Amino acid sequence: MTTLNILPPGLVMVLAAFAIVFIPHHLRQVLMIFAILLSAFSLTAGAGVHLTIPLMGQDLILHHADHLTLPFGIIFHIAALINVIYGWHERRGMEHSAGLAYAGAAIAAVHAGDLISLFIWWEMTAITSVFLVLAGGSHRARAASMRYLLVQVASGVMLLAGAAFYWRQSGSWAFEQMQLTSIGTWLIFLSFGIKAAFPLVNAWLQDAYPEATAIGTVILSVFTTKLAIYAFARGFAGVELLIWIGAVMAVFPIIFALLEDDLRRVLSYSLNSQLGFMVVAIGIGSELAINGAVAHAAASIIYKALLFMAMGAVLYRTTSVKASDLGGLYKSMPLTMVFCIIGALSISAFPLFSGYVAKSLISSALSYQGLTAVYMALLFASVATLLHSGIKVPYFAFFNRDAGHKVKDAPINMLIAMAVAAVLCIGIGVFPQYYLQLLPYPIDYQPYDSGHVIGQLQLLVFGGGAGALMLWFGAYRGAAQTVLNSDILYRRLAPMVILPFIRLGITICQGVMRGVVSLGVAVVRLSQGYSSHPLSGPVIPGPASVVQVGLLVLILAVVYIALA
Amino acid sequence: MKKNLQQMGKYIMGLIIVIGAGLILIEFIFNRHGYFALEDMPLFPAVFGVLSVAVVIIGVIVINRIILRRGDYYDDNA
Repeated sequence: MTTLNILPPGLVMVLAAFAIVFIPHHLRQVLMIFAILLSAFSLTAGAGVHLTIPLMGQDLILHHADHLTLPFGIIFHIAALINVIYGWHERRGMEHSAGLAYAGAAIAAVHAGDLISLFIWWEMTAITSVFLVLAGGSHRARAASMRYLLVQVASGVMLLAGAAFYWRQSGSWAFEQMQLTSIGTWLIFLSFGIKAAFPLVNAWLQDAYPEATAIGTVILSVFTTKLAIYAFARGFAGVELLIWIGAVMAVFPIIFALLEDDLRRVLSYSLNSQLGFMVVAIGIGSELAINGAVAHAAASIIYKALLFMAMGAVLYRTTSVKASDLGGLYKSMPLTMVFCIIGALSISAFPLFSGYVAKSLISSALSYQGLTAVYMALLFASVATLLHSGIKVPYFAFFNRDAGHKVKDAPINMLIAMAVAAVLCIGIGVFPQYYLQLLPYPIDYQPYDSGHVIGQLQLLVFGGGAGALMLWFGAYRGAAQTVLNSDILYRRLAPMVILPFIRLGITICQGVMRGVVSLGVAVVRLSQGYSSHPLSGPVIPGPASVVQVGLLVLILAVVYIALA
Repeated sequence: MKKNLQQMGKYIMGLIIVIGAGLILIEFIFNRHGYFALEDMPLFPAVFGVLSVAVVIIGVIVINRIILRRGDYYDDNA
């Protein structure tokens, strides 16, 4: 058994993903769980380098484990298991296969010890996850999936280019702490930034995730962005620029989330905001802050997946997840509503829920650095999170006016998956001491002291009360409108600028083509003329004389070159 | 149904008011403190929470005309 756990975690899942397509439905689900458990067994290998392959005088480190990979490895496996249960009712194999391969690739990426292995798995997450968006089936989903793929592959290519520069400069491609001092590290930083949905390169997230199926969006919400968070924590911890980028990330999606009609898109903006908290913590870079970033990443994976699962269940039953189409589902989907509210309380950081524990760590780390402005920005983002994810999502789906959907509650497998996630949300909040032991650095931390708890409750109750008044006076209005995002750069502005050039290029090409065709026609006519009118006498017809002249020129040229 | 919801809304608003009042009272009994000295001002979190919502509302009013388009805005080339 000692040899089995040297396999890179995730690899078994990727390999199994190809096999399960041909296996009957229920057996396939069981095998998926088995593959995830087998993959998780590799986590028992402990810290160290466990599998390398020599390549070009360097080692490809396929299985590297340490204090930072372990928490991500654990939470990724738990999320993958929850996803299998959540999607159990789906009989089509494609989504399961793509989902398992995607999760496996992300887990393997976390355990890559060098930039080339990381690149391979990085691209694998892009290629496998695009099928989850495609499975949405609509015209919009197909278009969004192609945009998604372009952005993700661009991120991968930047990572590869950065790795090449970094290798040339440092003579190593080991994935370790880097500084923003060369073009190589800048390219790697930007590559991670695209996957982490930095401001202005964030739109792929809100564009693609809500177009996937009910199951697909849940899986997508877990891996890509948190893999980027892991990559930042390993490669760029303590880079101050991240603090400011993270603060902007936490705040800018707020208005978008409040205006958006599609509730899964609201959650996608909210996810972007949550990533901002983690990026700030990584930018601080202290042990407490990295613990906070990892704690927040793990807690956020669970509560965000729970919220996406609840909205997925609503989509599955009602075929819509738009605020303007929904309302009054609290009677027909009561259990889903309860789970959604648990997710909402967690993301809003109510005491005794997971978000509170994670955000406390980041707040403490900020206070040790004296970053008052950044702390205030995150506090503001917390209140706004309560408005869009804590109040808006549950209210418009389950309360509001009755939209007349007479449906059953979510299928049992969905309810079980949501229950597991809900238990984790509460478990982390109530027993934080066990959760804190999983974090990268040893920590003696008590998130619950009366002073902070009262302050947090005041913030949430008064912020929530003001938010409830907004609802009361109809300030939130769900309307089927498009909220412009940074993808307008490549969906509208770039075509406006580039299309005229493309049209000009096409016109020039057409002109050149016409010229070539005219020239060809002229040559044919000329040779036909020679054929019908021999140059000299009846023996040598026109074309033959042309060939002879050509041969003579060639022979003369060869002789000239040989003599020269 | 609508009546039920309105009733529920009233209860929830009532509950929020009661809890809010309780939290203000507790503030003067327990030693509430924050991560920064600024937070130790009386009722700072409560005021910050309400002001944040006000800022968000202003932000929505200012920005919504800029970033909202009709629902099929991208459909001709999506």
